[in-house]
Parts: sequence; structure tokens; C-alpha cells
Amino acid sequence: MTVKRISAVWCSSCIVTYKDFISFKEEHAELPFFELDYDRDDIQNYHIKNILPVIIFEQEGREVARMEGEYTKKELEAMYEKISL
Amino acid sequence: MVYLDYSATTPTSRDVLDTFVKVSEDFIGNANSLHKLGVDAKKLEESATKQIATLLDVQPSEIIYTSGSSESNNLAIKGIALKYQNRGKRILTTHLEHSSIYGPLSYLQTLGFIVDFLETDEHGIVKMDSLKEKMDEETILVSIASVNSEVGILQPIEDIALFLKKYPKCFFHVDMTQSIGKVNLSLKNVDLISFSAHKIYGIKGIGCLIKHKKIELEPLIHGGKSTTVYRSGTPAHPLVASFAKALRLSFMDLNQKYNSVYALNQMLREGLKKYEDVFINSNEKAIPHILNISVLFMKPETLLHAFEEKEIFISTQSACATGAVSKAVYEVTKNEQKARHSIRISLSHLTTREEVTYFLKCFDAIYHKYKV
Repeated sequence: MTVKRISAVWCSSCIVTYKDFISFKEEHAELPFFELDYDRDDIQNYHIKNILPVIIFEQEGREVARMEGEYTKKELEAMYEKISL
Repeated sequence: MVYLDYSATTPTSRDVLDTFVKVSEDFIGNANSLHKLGVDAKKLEESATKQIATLLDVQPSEIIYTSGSSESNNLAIKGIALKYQNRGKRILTTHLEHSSIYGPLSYLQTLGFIVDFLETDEHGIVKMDSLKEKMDEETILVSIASVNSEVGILQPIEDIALFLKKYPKCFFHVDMTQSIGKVNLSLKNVDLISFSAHKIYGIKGIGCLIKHKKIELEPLIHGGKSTTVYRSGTPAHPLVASFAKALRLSFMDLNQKYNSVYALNQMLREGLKKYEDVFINSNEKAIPHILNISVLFMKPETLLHAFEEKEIFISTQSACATGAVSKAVYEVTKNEQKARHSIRISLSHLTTREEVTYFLKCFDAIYHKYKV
């Protein structure tokens, strides 16, 4: 499983969710995390709509789940558990 | 051509431009040079700075020139955070700020700073209860825009400043980019103020950070003598002189100009209220210079270009945050559809009734063309 977070520096929702994302990341040191910048990185293949941040869970290079907009750590955990079953 | 994007930038006033040209031609020295040409340039820069200080009722030494509000906001936020991090690492702001506030805050988060957001009421006004609840001894900075750039909500800066006096270890930064020269606001009890010349018919490329004399800042640019130790670089005395002129002109007949814009705003509201799927997002707490609306059946970009074909120029969101749902509109309306479909019409005392009439006529034509 790989976790990708796409955010932008001008996005206040990205600031709001950052702490929960970092906490989730620290508790799942076994997972590879990638943080991508909406303006700086090539994110064309992720088909981002108009909402940030976006969390993408991938398995063997294939997207298995996506969360758009603000989330809590609890929601991140719930999503992770759901797709890990 | 009908320009209705004055909140993005304003056309440079001829008087301001004349000052810039005259100073550039007549004062060719570097204000840091010791010879006569340098001394003359320095004297001129100091005189213009005194004028700005008098207009704003601050000390000349409290004025830091920057390239614009984005730099001023960055300098205020990073400068305070890095200088006073031993006091605490908590910063409070709102969901109604410009991207040049969120940018440095995002950066500071990666350094371990905690950023928290104040709640706003149904009008988008910061709730004092939320401020009281979230303030603590670890909070070193509160940053709030006096007027939001997309919807135009005017915050009760004086009340917030008064409340924050109870927390002498916390600084209050106000981004006044959209309010200066438009509304009368007291700067009393505010520690840091950002604004820019090009929003007040000045030249693009100069802004200002007013910093109370008791405050230290960590500079963003190190090295090289300038007008202050907080921002290095050769003093741009032609820009400073033109900035002083722009500020002075913007303060002239302020109430008269406000009333003129208010009347145009009412004209627009009246003209748009007959359309059932057009929503006005700028509520009664917004300044009249900004009218944010949502046309739910049209993409904002399509609407913008449809107006462009008729030589009318408006904005989709703030010019610096294109590409996302408008968080500011969402904060005020709590409606995602409105936040996805918002456009900003921004007015000036230079706007005429004929221009607004033409806008409304074209709006009607575009509305009926795309409504099908």
C-alpha cells in the first residue's frame, strides 16, 4: 500500500488537515508516503478536480481509494482499515 | 472596455506615474551612496516615508518597504514566527485569507508550528467567542485580513485588536490590502499591517509592512543596507515617492468615493436580483467595492470569457488561487455549488453608471444565451 497526499500551499483545508495527516503517517511508518504539490509536481495522472487536499491509496500502482477535501485522522484510519481488509 | 476587476489591481494614476517618472529622472543616485546624488535620493526617500507615516499615524521607522502585499504578509508571518518561536508556536487565522497568508503558514507547519482557524458566523465575521476560546499563552500571532479579497467581508478589526491587548505576548497582523484607501479603519492596537500600492492606483512592485517599533522580525532577505534592517535591497526611492502620492490621493474624499461605489453596488444588486439562479454571495457585511456572485449553471471561466468577448473584465476567485473551489465563498455561504461557480465583480470610484448599465445588459444577454 502507498499513500499519496496532494496539497497546495494556498489551500487552507490543507493546513487544517496537515496535523492529522502527519499523525497518521507517523503511526504507519510501515507505509511509503508521498507528498505532492499541486503547483510544483506533475499530478496530471491523478485527475484532481477542484478540491484539495486529496489522499490517494494505491496498491501495486493502482488506485484503490481516494479522499477529497478535509478529513480527520479517524476518517483516514477508517478508510485505511476498510481497504486493508 | 469596462474594467471591473479593481480588487485584482488598479490602473496607475497619471499623477502617481508622473511622480515616478520625475523622481526617476531627477534623482538618479543610489540612496545608499555617500555622494551628493545619493544624499539627495536618500533625503527624498525619507521625506516620502515621513508623508506615509503621517498619513497612517505611525513612525517612519515603523515602515518597511517590500515588493507588495505577498511579501509583506510573508515577512510578517515568518518574521514573527521565527523570531518569537521560543514564546510559543501557535498561530491563529481564518478561512478568509489570501494565499500569501496560507503559503507561509503551510511552510511554518512543516517546521512544527501549529496553525488553527477561527470560526466565523453566518456572515463570515470572526466569532469573538472562537477567538476567546482559541487564544492561549502559546499563541504568538493572530493574522486576519480586514477585508476578504473574494467576497469583501469587512472584519471587526478594532474589536479584535482591543481584545488581543490582553495578550501582550501575541502579535496581531492585519492584511489591509483590500481595505486601505477604501474604508476608514483605525490602526490602533494593530502590531503589523500589510498593504500594496497597486491596489490604490499606485505602481506595481512596491508594498509596505507597518511594524510596531516594539517588534523585532527575522528578515526574509539578509544583507545589504536599505531603509530598514528588516528588508535589504537598494531603496527604490522613485517607487517610494510614487507610493506616498498614491496613498495621499487614496485618502482624499474617501467618504465621497465610498458613497459613489456603494450606489453602483446597489445598482448591480438591483439588476441581478431578478435572475432565479444567480446568487449574491457578498452579504451586508461586505464592502461595496466587491460583489461576489454565483451563476450556478455556468462555469466561472466560461462566464469570464463570455464577458471578455464583450470587453468586460471580471475575476474568478482571487487572482492568486485559481484552480480550486472558493473556500472564502464556501465559508460565507456554506454552499459548495455557490463556491464552485463564483465570480467577482470589483468596483471603483472610477466606475461609471454607464459601465454598470452596460455590464447588466451584457449579463442579461449571456444569461439567456447559456441558460438554454
